[in-house]
Amino acid sequence: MKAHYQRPMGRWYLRPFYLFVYTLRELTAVFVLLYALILLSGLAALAAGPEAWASYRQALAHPLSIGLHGLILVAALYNSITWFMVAPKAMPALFIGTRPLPGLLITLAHIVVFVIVSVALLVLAGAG
Amino acid sequence: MSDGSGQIDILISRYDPERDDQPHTERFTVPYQHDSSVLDALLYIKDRIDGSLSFRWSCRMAICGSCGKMINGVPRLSCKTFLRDYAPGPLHIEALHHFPVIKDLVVEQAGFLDKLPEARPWLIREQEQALADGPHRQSPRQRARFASTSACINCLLCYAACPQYGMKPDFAGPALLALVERYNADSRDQGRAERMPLINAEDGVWSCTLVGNCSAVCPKGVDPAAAINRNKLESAKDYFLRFLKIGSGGAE
Ligand code: SF4
Ligand code: FES
Repeated sequence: MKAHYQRPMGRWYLRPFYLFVYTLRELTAVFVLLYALILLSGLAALAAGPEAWASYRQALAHPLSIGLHGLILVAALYNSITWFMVAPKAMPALFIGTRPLPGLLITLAHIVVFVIVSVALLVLAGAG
Repeated sequence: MSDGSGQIDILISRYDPERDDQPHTERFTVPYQHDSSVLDALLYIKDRIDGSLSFRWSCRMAICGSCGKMINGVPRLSCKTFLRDYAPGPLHIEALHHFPVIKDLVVEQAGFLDKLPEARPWLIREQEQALADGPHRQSPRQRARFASTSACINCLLCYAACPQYGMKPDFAGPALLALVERYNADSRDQGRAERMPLINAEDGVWSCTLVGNCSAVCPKGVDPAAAINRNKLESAKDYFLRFLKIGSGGAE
């Protein structure tokens, strides 16, 4: 008997669209890492003394850096929100009596806390 | 069509292992009515146009799990998918992705079936209860814990939706791991430890990257992605507990 046919995988990470949404979620994590490194190097500059700190701040003010931060912001927002969307699947099952807590509610709770914390941080930064 | 009936073009991926090296597409035109399913169209073609068309089906009512196909690239039960939603077509039907194709729309399911016993899908008791002691009682709340995972009909749409299974055929996969969770979450079961090796294995829950597509296509609301990712927590806990035991023993 002849062999069965095994279909090749092809570019599954681009199509269909919902798999592309997943691919982007994984890729945007790179930008989150990048931002962590930027923050970390700021900490190193702070430890190295006032001159290093001043030049770090100067580098941050460069238009290229501001553009990069804009990009990181968009990527991090996408990353966070798509993770909030799958969060109900990654945590222990919650029930109200015999009914499972709707996943949408859990996602919304994440987003609400996220917005509150972000606004609080912005207000604090503005006051400081 | 406004009255939900007419003709629709259907493209079917055909493969004959005796003749073909790879599948080719054939076009058929079939009549449909408001309540015609994709399975009805396949049966129409087999009865009236080409008797050699091969596909699986049985119940026609979304419970036997045998009629899964790729319909316009999405894994669906062909008896639960209606032609009116795809009019005027063309509608593209292929065998479920990721499984080897035996003929036309029939796939080899061994990749799933051979692994089934590893899930130990039965109630395991440390000590069997004597019949005279009566049934194992269960409250509605305890029953609710596995209500969704016990709805699985083994249609394997979730496997066709999972790119990880497509790349790693050894991956236990969504339905099998959901089955593990179905028994682990059952208050009458005491077999969690016996199922842990499958969960912990590299081809167990850790092969999942939470694409979530399995849950999106499941026709029975099983949510295998949740069953798998909740067990990542269990697997990590299990690892640390065993690690601590070895640590406190000090010898190993
Ligand atoms: S989990 Fe859902 S999609 Fe997967 S085999 Fe069971 S019923 Fe089908
Ligand atoms: S024919 Fe049984 S599920 Fe479709």
